[in-house]
Amino acid sequence: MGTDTNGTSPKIPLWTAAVAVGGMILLAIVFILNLLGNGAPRENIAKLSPDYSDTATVRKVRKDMTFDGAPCQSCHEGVEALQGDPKKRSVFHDKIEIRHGRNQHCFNCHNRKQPAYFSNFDGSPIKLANVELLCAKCHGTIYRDWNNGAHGKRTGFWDVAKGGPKPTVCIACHDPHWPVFKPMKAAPPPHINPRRRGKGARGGAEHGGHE
Amino acid sequence: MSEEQKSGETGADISRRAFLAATATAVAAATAAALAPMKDILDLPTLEEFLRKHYTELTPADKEAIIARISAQVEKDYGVRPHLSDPPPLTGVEFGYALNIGRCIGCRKCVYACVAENNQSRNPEIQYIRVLEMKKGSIDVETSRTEYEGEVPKQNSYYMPVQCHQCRKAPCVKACPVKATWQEPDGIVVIDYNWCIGCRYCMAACPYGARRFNFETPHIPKDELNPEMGLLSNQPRPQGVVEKCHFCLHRTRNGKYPACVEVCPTGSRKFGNMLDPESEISNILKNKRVYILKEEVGTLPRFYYYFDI
Repeated sequence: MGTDTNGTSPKIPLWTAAVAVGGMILLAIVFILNLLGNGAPRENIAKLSPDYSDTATVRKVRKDMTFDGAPCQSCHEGVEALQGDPKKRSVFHDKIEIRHGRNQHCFNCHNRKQPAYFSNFDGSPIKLANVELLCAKCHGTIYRDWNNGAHGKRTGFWDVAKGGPKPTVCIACHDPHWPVFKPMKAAPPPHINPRRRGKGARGGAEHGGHE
Repeated sequence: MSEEQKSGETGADISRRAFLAATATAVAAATAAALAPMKDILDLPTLEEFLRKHYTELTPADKEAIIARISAQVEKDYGVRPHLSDPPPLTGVEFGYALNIGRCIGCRKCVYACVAENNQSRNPEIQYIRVLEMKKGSIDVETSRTEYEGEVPKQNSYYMPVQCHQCRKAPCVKACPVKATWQEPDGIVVIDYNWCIGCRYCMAACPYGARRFNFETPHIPKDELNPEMGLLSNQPRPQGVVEKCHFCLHRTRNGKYPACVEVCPTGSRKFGNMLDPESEISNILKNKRVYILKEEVGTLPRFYYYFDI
């Protein structure tokens, strides 16, 4: 051999050159044909349900006092004060389940003489529109907080000049017969790393939320 | 020389010069092939966008031009004409946020109301609020979980949603090398999405993990885009910038409640003007037992957790 005549340039074995050049060309082919693929496929994320951004309250507040659509007056004329336990006496009210702590008696809240109204301490009626006054009979501190805005949902405007907040009444969230919130289904958990299988969301936010 | 002699005998040598030339050509070819996907990058900034000044140096005329340009771009991309505005901070207003930690049931509605309101990327998913499921009797966030599913609230758990605390001494603002994030007079820490270089120093600095990075171009379905937009809040973000909760400033600077407050089914979230002594937030701070997350790091947040009892 010895095509290089000046003799200062060292010789490289041909197979070394073939491996180096061939390897690089192979790499180029791998990249162009994308033989390595695009990595793990991204997790499928379900479409955003509009329910999650629904601002409605937990319950619907009825406008009138009715039972199965019929106003109270259609059965109770209100001439004589009702006596006894309505759950035992009629086939209409026996299905109502009361889980309101120690407050298990219907006429603690409902008015004996005027069943379309609620009952104050002295037996005077409280209208449905002022139902918070009924709840305030026992839950005074919560009534105070509700008035101050610390308890209960408020919507609308924080700025009083723009219209002010719109408070929601007690029974818009709490079922008076069963005031504790029923369990709700949680919205889906976050997909913190979209390319990682499973829900490896451990320590997301508290460690700086590295995503 | 003996080696040269030996290989010379096989007759399979090339000169070093030829070897280098051939290898360099092959390396160049491989590099070009590896970089080929870059030809798909189409969303390079326009010249106007590239030469735009920092938000705080913009004149009202500049802002109008920017709003018109972004509106046109959004209309082109999403087929909806947005109502893009830039509400200024209100005088005499400092926003504060309180969360009733005893009432939150962990339903995550706030998370998704926020995503819908603020045009966050759906996939990859970006959410400003993380709801931590905590063990009752502990305030250790290290043992909390974010991946709970099904019926809530769970036995022996309480829930602590975490989002941007809009700190008075915000570590993210100090960390930003280009001043792309700063605190507004009403207390909201905002980001100039055009100025952010995507270094993520702010994310490392934030003790609450409140900041999110757009690793990819955000994907928002066309029919889910919220057209009510603010320049510093929920305008569509480009790839490679940081974003975070901004107290829905396009809503709150117009007197409304943030989306998370409006949606909370338990009324755990409270928002208002701390400078107004009659506001609900002032009342809570005055009368309730208030807890500050990571108080010891000295960030002085405007986000408070409180208890009823």
